[in-house]
Amino acid sequence: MSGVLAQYKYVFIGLCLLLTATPIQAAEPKISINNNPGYAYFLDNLRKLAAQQASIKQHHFYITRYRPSETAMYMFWREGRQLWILSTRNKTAEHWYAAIFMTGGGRHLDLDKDVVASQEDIGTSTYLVDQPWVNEKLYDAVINGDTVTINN
Amino acid sequence: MAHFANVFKTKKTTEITMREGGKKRMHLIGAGAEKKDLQLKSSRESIASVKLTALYDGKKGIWTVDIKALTKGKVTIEALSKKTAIAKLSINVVERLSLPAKNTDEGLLTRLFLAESVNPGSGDYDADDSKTGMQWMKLVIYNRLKNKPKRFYAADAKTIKDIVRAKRQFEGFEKYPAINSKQQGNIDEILKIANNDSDGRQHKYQVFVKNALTVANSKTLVSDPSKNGLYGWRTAGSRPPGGDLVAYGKPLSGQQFYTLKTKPDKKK
Repeated sequence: MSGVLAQYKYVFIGLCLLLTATPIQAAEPKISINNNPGYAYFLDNLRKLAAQQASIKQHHFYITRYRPSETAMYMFWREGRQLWILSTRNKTAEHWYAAIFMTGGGRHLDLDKDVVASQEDIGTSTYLVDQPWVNEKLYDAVINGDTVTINN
Repeated sequence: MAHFANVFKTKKTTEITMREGGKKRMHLIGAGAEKKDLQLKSSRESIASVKLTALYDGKKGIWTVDIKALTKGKVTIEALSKKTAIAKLSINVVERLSLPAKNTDEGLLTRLFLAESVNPGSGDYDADDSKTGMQWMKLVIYNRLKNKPKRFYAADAKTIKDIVRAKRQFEGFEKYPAINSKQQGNIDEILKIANNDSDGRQHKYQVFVKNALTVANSKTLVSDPSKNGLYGWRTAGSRPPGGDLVAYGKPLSGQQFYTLKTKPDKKK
């Protein structure tokens, strides 16, 4: 009998470990844009962007925090009415200039033109996004994220 | 021994490539500090001219030299001190990079690749992955044309232009050959950097543009890596599209590609 139980000892230990294990992603602390090695370049380029709309005296940018394993963070530009998808790999002056001023399709989303009602409505588009997804990102950016205010 | 070098670098440079109409600043290092002893000569002034602009660092004998590339061809620039040659630089002046005419399939595809691909300045950019991404984008366009284009909002599509102009499919290209100002501005700046011999980013952007041209001009498509075919792409980190499209593999140079859940019926 004890021999039979001994066989299952390791199965039992394994099950206990599985039940108590925490997914790696949930345990990873989130990183703030403030800790980006190129934060000064990021700010500098936001200032240039804001200066292009000098008639607006103050611009607000809300940036989500991200886990080390994630490749994207999101930025809501309130006055521009845009939601941006930014790479977490951006670190240098060149990276941040390209991210702000030379980005490819689908990265700077116009909240008035590029948002559809549901995920199904995205269809086969390479860039449209849906309202529930946008809402989630905006909430995360404004409530849990970091705010940058640029004065013109 | 004196030598030419790229600005703010010390490594000897003996040959460079420039674009027609381009300007480039270099350093002549170890040439002493006396301007009256120095002379710069171009073997063919009609191809490229050279000027000794200013003393940059007297102690190290570093001079600023400005080169203007005029027309295509090969030329040698020689630096002389007291009439003795002390350094040489070979210059190959080539055509400026330009895009195919807008009214051609190659012109359309090149512009689409440049507008849609992750920029070479991005932290996500990898030159090889970017080229593969462009090859896969071309597959997506042709797959959509060959297999029930109606499901891709391009009913009655007969050409790839019909596919690309489909409503809300490819940002900024619905009215092609007119392209939205944002995308056109990006394309213009990419080409400008690729042709700017004074821009430290030039080489990366040249490779990017050349890859777009190569893929667009290729007469064949690469083998489709997906069993059911590639039918879409979206920015990595964007909302997945749902419906019939499912992610194919991991993101490639900042783009996530999509295939169909079930093999498409090829009947139109």
